[in-house]
Amino acid sequence: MSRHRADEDLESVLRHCADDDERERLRRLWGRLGALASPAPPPDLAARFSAALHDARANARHRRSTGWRLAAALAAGLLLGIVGTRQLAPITDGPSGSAALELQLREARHALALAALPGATATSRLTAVTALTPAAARDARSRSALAALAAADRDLNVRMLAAQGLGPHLDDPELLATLTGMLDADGEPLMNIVLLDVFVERSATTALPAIERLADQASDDPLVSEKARWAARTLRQRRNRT
Amino acid sequence: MDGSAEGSDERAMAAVAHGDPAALAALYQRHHARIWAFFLRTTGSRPTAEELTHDVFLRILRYHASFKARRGGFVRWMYGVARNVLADHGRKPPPAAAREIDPDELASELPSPSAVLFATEERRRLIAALGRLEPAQREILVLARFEGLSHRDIARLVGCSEGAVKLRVFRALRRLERLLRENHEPTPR
Repeated sequence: MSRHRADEDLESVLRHCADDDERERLRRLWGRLGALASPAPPPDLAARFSAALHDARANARHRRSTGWRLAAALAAGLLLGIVGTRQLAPITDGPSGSAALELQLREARHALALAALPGATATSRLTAVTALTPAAARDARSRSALAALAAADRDLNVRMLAAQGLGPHLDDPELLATLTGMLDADGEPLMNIVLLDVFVERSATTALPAIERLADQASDDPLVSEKARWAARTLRQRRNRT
Repeated sequence: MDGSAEGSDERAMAAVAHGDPAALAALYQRHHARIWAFFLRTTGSRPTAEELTHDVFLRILRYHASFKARRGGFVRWMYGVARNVLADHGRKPPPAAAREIDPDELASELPSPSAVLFATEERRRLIAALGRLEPAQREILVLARFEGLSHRDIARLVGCSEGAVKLRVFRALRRLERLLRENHEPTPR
């Protein structure tokens, strides 16, 4: 509402006053009310809303309307940090490049929603990872979603494919730290092998300590131990050359 | 209400109807703070404000089909949802005692920790008096003074004439002044 309109509204209210004295008192009171600062919601309200959405969805699991699917996607989106006051990243390419990128990001957004659906099948999540991977080069939210899937998806194939999709972006220290942490945390031999390949392919020498730890462990899987030793050796050589 | 923002809200609602979760997220980010503040000012309780804010956006999601862009703006429709949520909340059994707004609950309304004591106390009394208004009076005053809605919007929202809104705002304001006086609040000159 414009200031002018607000003033007009106030004057029309004050016309009901009995006299000028009351009019002035109420005008001052109105001003004092306006001087009260707006309370700010707690910063974690969005996260708690996300939890509320999850609860609501759980309570109405039998309902398969678009609304509840949206609820789940939004909830996951909030948790992944893909929802913010910021809209999509500014597009700086030429007109044709912008259109292509916009399309790519739109597809990625749908993929984000698909990937975040707790009820989505592993095949759907694999499809989502495939769609997110090309967008990850330009869209931080796609990278965040891929990292979340690589770290926590219950399906090994989804985790492996997401980790591979993040390979080209290991110049991002946070992503590198996330993937390095997975080397310690993910007990699946195949996932370890994928991660080792990614680190070597990208010459990620900062992952060396984690790789050496893995190489030193008495792994149940001799292939993982051998692969870790090879990766450590290769990365040390590259580090020494530079 | 800002026309471009309103148009953006309406586009977002259209996108929500087509299954775009980012659109609802954008609406949430744009409006949850004002809805939360509305509930805090009308109920005086932070946990209740949070619960009711969540309820509003759940209902927006669930009943998005009932939003008709041409029948008024999104903000007005959203406040209509918020009023329904508030009314449903009011129908729940009250807690042990009839609740008044606790000024301490609205402590964040205070300008800053460094505010002079007098100003702090004055605001505290003002908020306390606001909390002693009848719920309907408090609501109309909150809508008119804090939520940035025009009398025309409020009239459509609550289903009465603009003239009736002006009169209700006036009565709420006068009642608030009397409550302040009853609390030995000196009327500033």
